[in-house]
Amino acid sequence: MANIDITLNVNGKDHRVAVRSTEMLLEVLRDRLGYVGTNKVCAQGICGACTVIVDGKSTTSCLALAAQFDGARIITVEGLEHDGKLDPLQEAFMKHGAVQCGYCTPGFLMSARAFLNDNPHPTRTEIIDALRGNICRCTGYKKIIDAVEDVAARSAR
Amino acid sequence: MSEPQFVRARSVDHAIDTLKAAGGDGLIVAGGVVVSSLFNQRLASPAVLVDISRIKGLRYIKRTPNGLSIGALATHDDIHRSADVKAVAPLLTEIAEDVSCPRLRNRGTLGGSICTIGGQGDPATGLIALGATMQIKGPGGERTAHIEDFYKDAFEVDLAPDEIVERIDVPAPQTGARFAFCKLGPRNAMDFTQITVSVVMAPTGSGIRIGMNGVANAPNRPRATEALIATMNAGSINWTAVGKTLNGEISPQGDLVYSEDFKRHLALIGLRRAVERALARSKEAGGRA
Amino acid sequence: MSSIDDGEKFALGTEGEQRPWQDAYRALVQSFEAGSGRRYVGHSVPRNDVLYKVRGKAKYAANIALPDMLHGRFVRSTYPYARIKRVDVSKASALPGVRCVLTAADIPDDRLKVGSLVKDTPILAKDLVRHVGEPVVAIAADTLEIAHAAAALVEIDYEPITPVLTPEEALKEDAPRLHPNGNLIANLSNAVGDVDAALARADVVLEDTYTNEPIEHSYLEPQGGISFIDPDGVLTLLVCTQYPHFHHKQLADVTGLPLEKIRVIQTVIGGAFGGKIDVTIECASCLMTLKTRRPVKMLLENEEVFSATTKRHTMKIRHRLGAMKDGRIVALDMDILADGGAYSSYSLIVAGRCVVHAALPYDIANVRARIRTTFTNNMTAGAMRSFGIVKLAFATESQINKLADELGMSPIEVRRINAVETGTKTVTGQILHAVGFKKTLDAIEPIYEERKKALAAGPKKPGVLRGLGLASLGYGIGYSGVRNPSTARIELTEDGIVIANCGTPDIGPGSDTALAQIVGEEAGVNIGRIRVVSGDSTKTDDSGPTSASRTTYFSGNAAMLAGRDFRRQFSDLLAKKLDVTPENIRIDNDQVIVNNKPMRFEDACATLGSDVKQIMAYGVFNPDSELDFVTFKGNPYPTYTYATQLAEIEVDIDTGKIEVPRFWAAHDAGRIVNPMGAEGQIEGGVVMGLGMALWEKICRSDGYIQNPGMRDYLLPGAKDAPTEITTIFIDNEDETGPFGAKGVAEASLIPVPAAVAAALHDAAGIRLNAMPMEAETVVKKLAARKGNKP
Repeated sequence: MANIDITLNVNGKDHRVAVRSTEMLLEVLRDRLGYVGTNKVCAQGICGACTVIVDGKSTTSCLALAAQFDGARIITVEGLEHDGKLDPLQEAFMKHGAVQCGYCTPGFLMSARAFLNDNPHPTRTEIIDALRGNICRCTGYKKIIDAVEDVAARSAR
Repeated sequence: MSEPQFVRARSVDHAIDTLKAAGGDGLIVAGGVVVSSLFNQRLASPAVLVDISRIKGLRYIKRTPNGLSIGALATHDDIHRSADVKAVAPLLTEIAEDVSCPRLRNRGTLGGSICTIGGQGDPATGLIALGATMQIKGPGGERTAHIEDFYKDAFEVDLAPDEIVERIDVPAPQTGARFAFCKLGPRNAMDFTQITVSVVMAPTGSGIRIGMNGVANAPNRPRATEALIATMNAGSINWTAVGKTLNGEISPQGDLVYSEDFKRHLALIGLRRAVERALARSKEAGGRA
Repeated sequence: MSSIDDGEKFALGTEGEQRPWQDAYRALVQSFEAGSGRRYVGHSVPRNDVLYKVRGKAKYAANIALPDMLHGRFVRSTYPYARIKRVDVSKASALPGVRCVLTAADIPDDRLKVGSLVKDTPILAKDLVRHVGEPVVAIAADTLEIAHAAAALVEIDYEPITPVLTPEEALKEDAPRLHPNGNLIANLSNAVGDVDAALARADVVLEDTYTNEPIEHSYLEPQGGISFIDPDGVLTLLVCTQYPHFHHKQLADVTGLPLEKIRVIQTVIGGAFGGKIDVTIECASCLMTLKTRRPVKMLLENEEVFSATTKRHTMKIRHRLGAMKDGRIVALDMDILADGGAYSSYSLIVAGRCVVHAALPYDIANVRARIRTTFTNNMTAGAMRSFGIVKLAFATESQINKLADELGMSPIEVRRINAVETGTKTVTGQILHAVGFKKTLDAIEPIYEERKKALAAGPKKPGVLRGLGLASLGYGIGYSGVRNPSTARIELTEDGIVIANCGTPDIGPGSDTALAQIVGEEAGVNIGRIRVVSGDSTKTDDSGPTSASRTTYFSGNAAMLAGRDFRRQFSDLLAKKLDVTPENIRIDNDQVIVNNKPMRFEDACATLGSDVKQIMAYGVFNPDSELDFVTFKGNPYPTYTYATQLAEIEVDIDTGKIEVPRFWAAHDAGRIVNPMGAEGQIEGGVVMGLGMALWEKICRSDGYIQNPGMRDYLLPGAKDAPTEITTIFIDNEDETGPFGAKGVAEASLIPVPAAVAAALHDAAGIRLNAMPMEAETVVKKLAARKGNKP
């Protein structure tokens, strides 16, 4: 029974929604609120496709009970762009060919965004380490890492 | 298909009362990582979910006269970032930064990880090596438990259905104590099959505490191995002998990735590497607080 | 549903939704408009779907919801082999919210079985289940939760039969017959020359057996789709597939509907690699839509993907190689036993490809190749990136590396001596053209020599051994030995949108972008105005599946011809309109030059007005590729791609763990249409190959898959991939390809395991013949080697 009232702020917009106690944040975002940009794959916390940013931190939304997130500020891939302007990471992913099938892309973008917000000038090794929890089967990771590195290099010190 | 009731605990006592009322059919949720995973696999169907994540005063890290006190709700990420942890027990910093991956470190809590062997038990090995204790509260009041005594068997911990881990107390290692953490898995991250070893060694000599995971049903402390190493010269440990003793103290089970034999092999390699790293560290750092 | 009615590629949204982002894409590709020479082909043009993908707007099947939609779910077999005694769905049907419960009894016998090559796979099992996870019942309900609950209420009584779990068992005289025609799916062989005589006189004969484990494609997006009946009464299926036309035709057979009452549209696809070419949800979903007259959405769960979709074949390859002291290979003898699993899927194609590729990329006079693929009660084996050749390469390339060591020759030199060249006659009698194989060896050689020195001189890490290993490949582009034409049709809208309808869908690598590049280049129009419609079975001709690295070459050629035709038709039409001679009209760099006066392309379109509808440019590419599968004579493929790859590894001697810090891949893929995209294919293929070489295996026990998920199926992550992957495209042009292009997607993976195995031998002196080359095996082999030392 969906009887737990919560408020989620998603990409700056408040949503009141009643959730079930075992409902995952991912399901609420996708199925109830329509933020389908975040993809569901393994449901075991391995692949990282469902990564969103909650209160500034990357979070595995398939392993997150929605009921625990009352009042949380959530950013999904749809919330990366502002006023029609893409996030530098989105630009870099396009420029570097970091996207193939694209199913892992939102998860990588959110992991990378949370990471760069915390550590704007990482080394390549630190970038690789930060992306350890996201699986990509198409690219072999190189161009994704290149893209993140490019954004880091361009951001003001 | 009845959904569990969801109770947001206001306090530790409220949580304990709720668990007690659930009569063994309650499940504590802290960061929710492991509990969510159980639900996704349809492996749990409690009557009541007790959400302790909003209890004030359970998420902290502070220095105490004896060392560190870490609230059960402190996340792996909190521990990784804590200057106090780094100053008092840098072994825990080192472990925290290698627990699964950032997005899970941000949610997973130390208390949850101890109780569910979340984070594949990495933190538990460090806490065992450091001699940490747990402050547990239940209807009958508070008690203290040594972490190495907390694990009884697979999925069996020394925690009553209406008890809650409140905090973990980590005694400061002796000044100049040497430490290291070693993780061996098939890949470089995100493995469930892995052997982990934490060691804390006395500032001089070969006195040692060892915490291991992946070599038995639960994290463990191989005491006889510790005792044996303590009798040896730190610079010339007889690893064959250590291996024999260690073998008698561990009981790994083969899985889809490693056979039992190979886990035994890796357990000794892991221990040796941890000890060698600890000893090397003392040289390079000249001992540290 | 305007997007569907408009005939736009559904995946990218409605016309209105697409327009702003088409403008944005145009801005993105602006830099390619300047300059002379080719504007698009040969340049790293960003993908034309990337704006949707980075914004989370791509319409994957899971992201599509229709009003009044039901949610479907399968009830699957829990036995590897059993007779179905009773299926009772009464309780499930009675559950409130359940709208349809489908069993085999609801499907006429003559429509029950489907399949990619042979119709041997029941949509829902009847009387017999042949593998764990085989669908027995399909349920559609108001919510997914109800569908789950109903599934739990289905009662199926099985009478288990002892399963057949290996090809060896399947071939026994007294083995149970798993299918009416017996247990062999394929039994193919070919021989040229006199192998036995050549082996007898060879200076060196190497014999070994090579094996592998089943692999899961592990595309991230699980199979899924939505079926519904559109306002015109057309049964429409939106589905992530490599081959919409196959489903279109098959659904006609399954439903009895005429072809024009069916439409299959590919959704944006989250990876495929051969795993989305067979039937999963398509038939059951459509049948439930026809029963309920409501949209039905079916999505597999990740566990179902792992436990109940096709896998890479396991093969046991017995391999003999005979050579002379000077390095000339005189004989190759290969006998393969493969596990095809429960149903035939693409086993025949895999088998055929293995026989044809037995010697490639080498010119060997005496070759014998035989493959037998059997049914078993394991999960069906099907198509996967390389169609079996990665295992062949593991065997042959390992043997050649062994030969080099045996003869004390460089592995490059041995390959050079035996390499195919332009003009070489293959085992099928085909004369090869545009062969760049030796150039790939030339490209790798200096790197190999330099790294060899560096490793010898470099600082030694205690307990770590380093090594280098290389391997090569030759791979045929397209279907094996049957004609497989591609077509392209180009239309124009009044406001200057060029719609290119191409028959092979983009399954992730960016082929839609490559096709747009080719059309833009050939037609002279800006790529930003080109919209590729590639996955709609009613808008394009059946041009075969996107598989076998064939899209750039086949559909690319068709697109090029259509682009040329477009230019001609456009000029003719405009000439008529403006009353000038067609020779005085040129399209160049998105401008229309009429009597030396330039006008904007969109202004020219506006001038044409509704006359633009008369433009129906067409291109067809149908190369002569035919092979007699009895004599194995003919031209199985119109062209071949070649590569040599080099792996540098580090072996931890205590833990057996192998790291691959550096990797080089030199490829002859013809002229590269999109270097960034092609590099992406290679980097991804290399890491997928490393997964197969080092970690990945589907574990099976008694017919049950033990690791149905990413927790215990070990995929390489960012920390496991090489820190340096260097791609080298050698300079070569195939005049039969579009702008000289061949293909690249599968080749990238094929040499990887053999290169790693060679590097392991170089580093540690041990040879492993079984994939994955796990740490535990390495440690055991190292210990055995030590023990052997005096």
